[in-house]
Amino acid sequence: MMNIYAENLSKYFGRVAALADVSFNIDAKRVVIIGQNGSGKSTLLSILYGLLHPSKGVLKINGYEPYRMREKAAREMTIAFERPRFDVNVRVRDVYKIVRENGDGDCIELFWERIGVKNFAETFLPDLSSGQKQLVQLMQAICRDSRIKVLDEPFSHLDVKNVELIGEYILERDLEVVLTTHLPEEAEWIGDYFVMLREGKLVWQGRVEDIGGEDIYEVYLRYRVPSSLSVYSKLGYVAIVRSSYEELLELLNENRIRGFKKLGVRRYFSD
Amino acid sequence: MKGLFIPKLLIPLFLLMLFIELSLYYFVLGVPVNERMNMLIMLILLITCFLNPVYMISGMAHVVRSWDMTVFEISMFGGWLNIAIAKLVSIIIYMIPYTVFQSVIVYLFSSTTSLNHLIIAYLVLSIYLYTGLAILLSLVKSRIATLLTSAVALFIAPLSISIIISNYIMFNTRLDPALSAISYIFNPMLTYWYDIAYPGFVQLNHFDGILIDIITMLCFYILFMLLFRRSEMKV
Repeated sequence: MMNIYAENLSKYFGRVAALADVSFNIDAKRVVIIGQNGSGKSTLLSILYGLLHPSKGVLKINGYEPYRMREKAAREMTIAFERPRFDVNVRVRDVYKIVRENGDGDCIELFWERIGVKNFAETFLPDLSSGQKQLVQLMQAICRDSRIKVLDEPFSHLDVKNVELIGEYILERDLEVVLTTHLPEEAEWIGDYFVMLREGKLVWQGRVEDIGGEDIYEVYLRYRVPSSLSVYSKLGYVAIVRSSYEELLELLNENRIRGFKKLGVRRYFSD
Repeated sequence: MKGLFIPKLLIPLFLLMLFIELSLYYFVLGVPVNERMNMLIMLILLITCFLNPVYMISGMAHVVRSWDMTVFEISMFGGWLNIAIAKLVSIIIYMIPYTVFQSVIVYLFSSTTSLNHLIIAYLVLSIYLYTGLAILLSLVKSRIATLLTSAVALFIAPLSISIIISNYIMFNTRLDPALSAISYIFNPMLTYWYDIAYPGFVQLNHFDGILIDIITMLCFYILFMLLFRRSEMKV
């Protein structure tokens, strides 16, 4: 179980606040930071891994400030981030050899053999596709011996089969992870504690079980929202509605909706 | 690291240097012995103001990287200091073949004159001192800005020293100790040559020059490691 503590955490880039007075105190195994694009998720991860100093406030992980104790942070944590720009001619096989020396054999076997990283072993990092880059990064971040895995949008650019394999591995091994995502389903699948950011501010923190809302459901749409439903908000192909289980089941059987589930973290994506 | 030593770039570069410098060498052999010392200055300017910067910029790929790549390395190796040291070692190794090559050339040239072979020590110092400056400049946050500032610093600084010294010689003025120290830092080979060719012109003993260069070089390297470990990166 890790502890992450933030108090009035702020980070400014020029006059723009990427994070503004964010405070929380979390004890959890898998923390998911959710929010829309530009909400400050990656900035929070950068501070958490010690890459950035906050402009104001403090952030501690297991009692220390990672940006002040960078060597310790780099030893105890590994990071993978979204859309990496690799610009050095290193082959995937070289990365594999390094990770194999200080990594978990089962994890490396998963990436190398089952996921198939070995199929592009001779390719230089800059020449990889975005999905392949993501796999190499995740192999490094998840397999290298470290207590906490910091993963920025780990499943973007991956096909569903690889998402399944990697997600299951994280859950089976009960790894301590801090990850970001803008997909509510992904967050609810992996996370046991959630931090929701919007425009750099903390909107909500808690567990899925804490989310109230009797008779409020997320409905996966087929064309338009059925007129019988009372809609709170609509986010793309999902609508948040007040209804009953029986009514929604009937709509599903009539093929007027594609599915439904109890209200989750998606409620915090809407204003 | 293999990927950073690019034969397609390095082989033509070394062949071109060999051609230019051997042409100059055979030209010097045809000059009367008492005039060869003056010919040596051409080689020194060629090396310090042109060949050193060109080779160093080709080696900047060892240290100038995107933040993403650097963070990936930090995460993979589990430390900041490891990466700073790896970058230093990588560029130092890259400079070795060039240093050996130029040392042989300078040895051949200095053997034709009364100049002491100590000039080879100044050659080595000038290469590794500017390497230190180049890796410091690699911490500038933009890659293009790094390459531009490095190019300017590596070309202009040694050339400026040569212009300053020429003016002092023209006006028959001696280099005071402070300017001598600066001159030893930014163009060690040339300053040594003037110290030998014009006794008393440089008001610092050439052994002091070596000491100043070594201290400055170490400062550059240590400063790089300190600043690298404090640098901020946003991924």
